Amino acid sequence: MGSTTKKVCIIGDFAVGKTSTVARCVHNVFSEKYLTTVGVKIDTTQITMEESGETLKMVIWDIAGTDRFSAVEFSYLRGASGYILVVDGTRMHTLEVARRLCEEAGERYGNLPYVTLINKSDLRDSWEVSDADLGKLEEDGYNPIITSAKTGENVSEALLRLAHLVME
Amino acid sequence: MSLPLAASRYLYATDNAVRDAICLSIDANFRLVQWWGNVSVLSGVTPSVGEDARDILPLLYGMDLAEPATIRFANVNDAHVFHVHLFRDGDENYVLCIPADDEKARTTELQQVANEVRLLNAQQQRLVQELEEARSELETKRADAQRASMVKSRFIASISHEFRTPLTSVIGYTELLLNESGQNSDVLAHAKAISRSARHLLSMVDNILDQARIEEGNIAIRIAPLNVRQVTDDITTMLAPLAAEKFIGFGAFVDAKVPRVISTDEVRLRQILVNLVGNAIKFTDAGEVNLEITWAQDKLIVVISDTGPGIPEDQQLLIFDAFHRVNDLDGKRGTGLGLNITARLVELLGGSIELESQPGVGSRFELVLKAPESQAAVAADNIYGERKVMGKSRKHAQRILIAEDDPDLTELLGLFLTRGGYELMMAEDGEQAVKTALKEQPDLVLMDVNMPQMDGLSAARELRKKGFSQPILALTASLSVNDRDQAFTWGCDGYLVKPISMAELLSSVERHLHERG
Ligand SMILES: Nc1nc2c(ncn2[C@@H]2O[C@H](COP(=O)(O)OP(=O)(O)OP(=O)(O)O)[C@@H](O)[C@H]2O)c(=O)[nH]1
Ligand SMILES: [Mg+2]
Repeated sequence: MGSTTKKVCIIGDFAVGKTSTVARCVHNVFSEKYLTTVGVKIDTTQITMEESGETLKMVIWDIAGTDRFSAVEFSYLRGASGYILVVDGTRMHTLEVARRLCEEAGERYGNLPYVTLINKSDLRDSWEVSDADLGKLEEDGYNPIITSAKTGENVSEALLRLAHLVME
Repeated sequence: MSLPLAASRYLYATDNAVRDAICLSIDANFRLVQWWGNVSVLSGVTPSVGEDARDILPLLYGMDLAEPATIRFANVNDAHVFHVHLFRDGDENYVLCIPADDEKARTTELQQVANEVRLLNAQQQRLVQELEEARSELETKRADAQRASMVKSRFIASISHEFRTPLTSVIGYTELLLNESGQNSDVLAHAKAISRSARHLLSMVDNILDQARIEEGNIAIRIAPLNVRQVTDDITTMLAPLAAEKFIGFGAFVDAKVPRVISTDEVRLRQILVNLVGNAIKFTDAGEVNLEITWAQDKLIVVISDTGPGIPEDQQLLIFDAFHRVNDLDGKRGTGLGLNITARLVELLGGSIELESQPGVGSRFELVLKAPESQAAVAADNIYGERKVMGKSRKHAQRILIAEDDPDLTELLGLFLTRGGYELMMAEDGEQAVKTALKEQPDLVLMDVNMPQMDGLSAARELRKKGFSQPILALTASLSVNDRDQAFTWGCDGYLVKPISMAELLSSVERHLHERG
């Protein structure tokens, strides 16, 4: 049974919950306190693929949130096998940012596999992202997953989906 | 151990401090060849040559050694932060890690504040947007309500208006009955009762009509010179009999200080006085009602006092509200609109109204109205006509054309005028009126404003255009200033508001005929 190591990035606007999502995946913890990420934070986690029994070691680059990548930040995607795109459901603007980042990544790095997380599902009552927006995302091929780093909803499922995509 | 020359050169070229930097030299397969500095801070243990450098620094996974790379503020193993530089020197690959803990702390602090401000802004924007949405929703609702209220007011106004014409017939015919000699006393009593009720109905219709107009914002004010003493006389003539019927005293007093001619809206002033004095008489069962008028500093000061039941203190503020009536006033009827209209009219005339009242003792209304002295001579002809003794000596029977589409009213006017000794001709609409007037050249035309085919005012204008020079008196159920003004601009000489009493009609007709001589 083999083991593979892959680099993945997690990108999105600031405060959408990238660091929280990684913390949930890696340490299964959550904090309400917002501590912005400066630069990149690198974490590793292992995923065992049920079907093959194979282990995937993921090196996750948690990149400081921004609504527009600088050249340096953009270069962090180099060598990545895939990425996680995070949207904050309570802020419509972060969805537009995600679309833009995804388009830019596609232009530069080709068809990198990715998963789209619409995070903060525990705050659904105050979401600005509507069902119609989700439908539109679906149509545009983003396959959004509704997650909550706070409750853990769908977080490992999302990571697993990405694992499958990068292993293909 | 000092850094390799390549690293030093790199540091120098990139303007970085050398202190505490860590350097790894790796082969094409990421195997550790050599290192400088305190490498153990990277992975916690001291590495060995030949080890996979990616296990020490996982961020090297996926790196292409052929391409130089810079990673700013790389948080390694959740502990230290480094700027990591990957570069080549000849065949050698170097990984240079420059400590950036302090710099990161400073940057984070700034970034944190900036992000939090942006989050707050977003939140604030959302709140503002919600507020705006709520506000615009309210605004729509308010506009809807206002529109509904306008429609209602307009509807009420047109209905009330329609009521005036038949009421004119009722009141007029009753008056005829009352004046008929040789009636038995039962018939007279019945006719009096009809007359009272009809007048009461009329005053309610008027109040509702005015209320609707006020709500619609459709009450215009026409300030013109007027004679207060005459207005007071008229009101006394009209209301004193009501007081006499109830065996209560009524006195009207105009102070010598009041100028002969002042400027205000005559129609509205009369309405205010009739409302207040009429109310006072209505509610006073014993004692007296007094109307006192004085003047100071361009203002007319009017006091109406009575010895009626008075108004309890808790009701005194409410009493000017639309449809409010003091509860225990022995079931006296009314729409409760009178005082509200009065207050609104006073406001429109640039005045104020105050009430003092003590239950069981009486009430006292004091109004102050803007009414500057005017130098103008008041035209003998005000819209209500002066009550004069009719001239009896006419050389020949004068001919009057009645243009009126309501047959009952035509007949009534006919009866009134026949009694006044006039000869009559009739027209049922404006066109017919123009034709008949031009052909028959009557001495005076009574022109109803609302008629089919051609309305009365257009007919008047048409007649003037074609050179008809005899007096034309407009007849209407409308009290609006616009209608009044238009009647004059389009060539009418006078204006009679329905319902018209016989005395009023005859005196006005007489006067206009007399003026033309
Ligand atoms: N209610 C709720 N809050 C969340 C969730 N995920 C993250 N947060 C909160 O959102 C804030 C930002 O979370 P982070 O994980 O730091 O966001 P980030 O995307 O890493 O932000 P940057 O590093 O600044 O780009 C923190 O206060 C978190 O507690 C979630 O699923 N539900
Ligand atoms: Mg973060």
